[in-house]
Amino acid sequence: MIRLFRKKIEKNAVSKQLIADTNFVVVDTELTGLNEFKDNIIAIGAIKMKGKTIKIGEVFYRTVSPTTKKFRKESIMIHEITPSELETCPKIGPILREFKDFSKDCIFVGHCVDIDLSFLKRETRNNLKDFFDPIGIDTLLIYKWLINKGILSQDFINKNSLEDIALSLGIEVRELHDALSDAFITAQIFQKLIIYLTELKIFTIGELINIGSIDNRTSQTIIKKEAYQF
Amino acid sequence: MILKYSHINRVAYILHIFIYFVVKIIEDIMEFLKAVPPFEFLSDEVINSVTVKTSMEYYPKGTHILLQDGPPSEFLYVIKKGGVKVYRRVENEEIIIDYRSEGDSFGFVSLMSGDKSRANIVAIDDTICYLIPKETISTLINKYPEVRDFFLRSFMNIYLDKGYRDDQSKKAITYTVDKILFTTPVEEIATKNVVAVNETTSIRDAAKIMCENSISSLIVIDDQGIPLGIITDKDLRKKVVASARNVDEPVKNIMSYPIIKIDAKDFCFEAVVRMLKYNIHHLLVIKNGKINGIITNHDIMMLQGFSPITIVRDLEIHQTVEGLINASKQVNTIVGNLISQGAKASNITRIITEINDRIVRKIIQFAEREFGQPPVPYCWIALGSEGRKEQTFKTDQDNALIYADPPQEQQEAVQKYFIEFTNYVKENLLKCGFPPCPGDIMASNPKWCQPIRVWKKYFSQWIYMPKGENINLSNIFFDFRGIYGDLTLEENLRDYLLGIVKDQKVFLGYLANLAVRNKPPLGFFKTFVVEKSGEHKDKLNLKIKGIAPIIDIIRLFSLEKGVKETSTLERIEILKNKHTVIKDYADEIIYAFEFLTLLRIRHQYEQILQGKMPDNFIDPESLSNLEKKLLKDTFQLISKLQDILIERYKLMII
Repeated sequence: MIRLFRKKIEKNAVSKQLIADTNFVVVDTELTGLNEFKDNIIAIGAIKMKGKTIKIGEVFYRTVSPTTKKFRKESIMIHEITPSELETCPKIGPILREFKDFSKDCIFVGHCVDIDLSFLKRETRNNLKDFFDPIGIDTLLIYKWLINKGILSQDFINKNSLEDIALSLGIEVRELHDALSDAFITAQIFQKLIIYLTELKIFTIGELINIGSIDNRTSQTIIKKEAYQF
Repeated sequence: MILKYSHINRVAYILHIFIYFVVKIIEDIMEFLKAVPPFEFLSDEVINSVTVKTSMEYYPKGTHILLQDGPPSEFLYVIKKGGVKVYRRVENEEIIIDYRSEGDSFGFVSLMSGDKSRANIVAIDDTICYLIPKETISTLINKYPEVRDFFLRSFMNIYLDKGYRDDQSKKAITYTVDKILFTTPVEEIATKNVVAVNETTSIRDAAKIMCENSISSLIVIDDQGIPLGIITDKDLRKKVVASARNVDEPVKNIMSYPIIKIDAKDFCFEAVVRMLKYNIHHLLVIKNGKINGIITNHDIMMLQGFSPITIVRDLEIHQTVEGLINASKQVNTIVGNLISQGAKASNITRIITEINDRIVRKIIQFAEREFGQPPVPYCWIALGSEGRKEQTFKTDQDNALIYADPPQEQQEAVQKYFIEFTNYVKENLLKCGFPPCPGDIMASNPKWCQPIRVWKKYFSQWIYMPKGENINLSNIFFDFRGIYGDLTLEENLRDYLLGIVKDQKVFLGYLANLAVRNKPPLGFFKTFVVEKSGEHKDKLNLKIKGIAPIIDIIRLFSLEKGVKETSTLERIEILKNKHTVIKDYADEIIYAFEFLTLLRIRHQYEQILQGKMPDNFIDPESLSNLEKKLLKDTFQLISKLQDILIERYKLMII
């Protein structure tokens, strides 16, 4: 309760802030699966933005040794990381600490970012015994919102995967499916979405949160699970 | 222990993964920057350090990125995708300055000066830019002269006074890194241990001095210390031992002379050219008017590992056409070497000309041997590109023959002799890889094998009646150059030509008309104007669109001003002081001409390596961004010159 309250204060504090002056961290995690209780993070990829500017040099990528023995075959296929490779990777604790430093004072952005955040939240709680609950903005929600506003074509209404959305916005997709490349693509999507929002005179973080925040979650969750590439 | 080991292993693995993935995302950007000047001059490490400071922006079509009189730019913008228009608004009128596309950059001038932006930059397409911060660019400029020179040349030109520009642009095209032959001054490799002896010294004493000093040559000087000649091991062998000469004779009897000099500051390439030209292997190096050393072909071969001089020696030795054929095959290898050493185009064509001239001379000598001494003096002349010393790879034979006016009764016999003679030369040139001219402009064609009296008639006809074919013939023939024989015939004909052509406004107007006929492509953006159909679809004809207009314009001015030189670059040098237009544009034209010729030679060399027939059609897409930019500049210059021509000759241009 207290925590939720704190987050509300945080949101109020930043709501007047201009999008253009805000530091974002665009994140993508690779997971062993989508079960929030059983599965784990394999890799974290992130790239920073200030406003709509992508900071190419400010990137984060770490692979994690999973604690779970259960490895879903499909996720291995997608990420081309094999269990034996992961066994030689460091434990998640230090990596999370490093990532917390990297993403400090940033608003999180991601394609279905609530899934990434819920995993990051649980891993932080379990491994660092720490609290982690940043503001998250979902590019998919903004994308759908822009379609409903008639800014983007209705033809895209059924597009949910990162790749489809990227292609629909004319973004080059080459290295999908490692966390950093996906984060980079998400950043380019976010960049374009901000420009569309600017055209609608949407300039503040408050407005952005209203459109794309995971706390305004609705029935979208199911779609998101389908759309999420783990 | 085991724990420790696995720990190390793990760290190594993490590092590996980290570098691999971080590079993977940055790699694309690095790859992109690597193809973009001036970053292409930098090492991967430096490019990486630039990339990590770089950010990426997206501008939808129509976005104004920089505003005229707006705040100074904080970044250098490199266009990753899309394109922008640079324009200024003056009194409500829009003046388009430039279009920039993928790989081009903008924002530099106001970035460096800190002044407000000079122009508007608007995205004319959805555009992605990489933004490199001011600080990073400043560091690069301070650390890397290549980067500084690039920016100075490409951006500052328009803003700086001409004196400074001249100085900068001279360095630009030779974008060689460190190409030995063209960057090493003679003094660096010359033998400093030079011993001079007086001309009256005996051969015996001279030989003794050479032994004592372990040197292979001696400079022979007179009483005033002026170098007269040189004696080398070869002279001792040939002129003393082999011919059993008395060793008490003075050295001046066996010395080789005159001695050819070279300045200590000249580049080794110049030494090669002189050795080739005079067929010698030693040059006297002079510094501040004094003897500084000797440079030999051996020094140069040591420097570079090969030498065009060897092929020339080969040519000299051979007494049969078969021998020449083998030697002439090496030309391609030599040109390849020169290209890879970053030689200037004019230097490459000079070498090719020197070698080809020798092949022709040699074959003519064989012909003289075959048919006996000619009944009257004659001069073999080269035409077209060969006449201009601008041959690239083996091109068609373009030649003719002038002979002295024979007495009336011998006319037929003389003509018969020279026709057989020239046919022999033609056949043997063919064997050496010079195909016959499709238009039959060759000395073997009786029409082009004529006494000087007839040549004068031809020339005057072409000038007084500049119609149809005549005007084309003038363009080919008026670049004539004597190759072999009695060169006074060539001189005589040239004096005649320059004497009559000067004030022939109508004729010059026709030439001007021809020189502006082919407009270079200017309206291109992203792509060049290229051939629309046929075998060379999507290719750019470098010769017709770029090289020929320059040659034509310079030929016209040379005829107008009575310039005797035939090569375009030599003509420009002379015209600098004679012609107001050339005075203003000489350096830019030289630069443009060198650049176009280099593109052409490189293109043709690649074709030869692939076993294709060399042609003049280049694929603009195969050019680097820098080359595209330079080509664009070059075409703009040609177009400007053509406009000047139209202005000057407007009354006569039909």
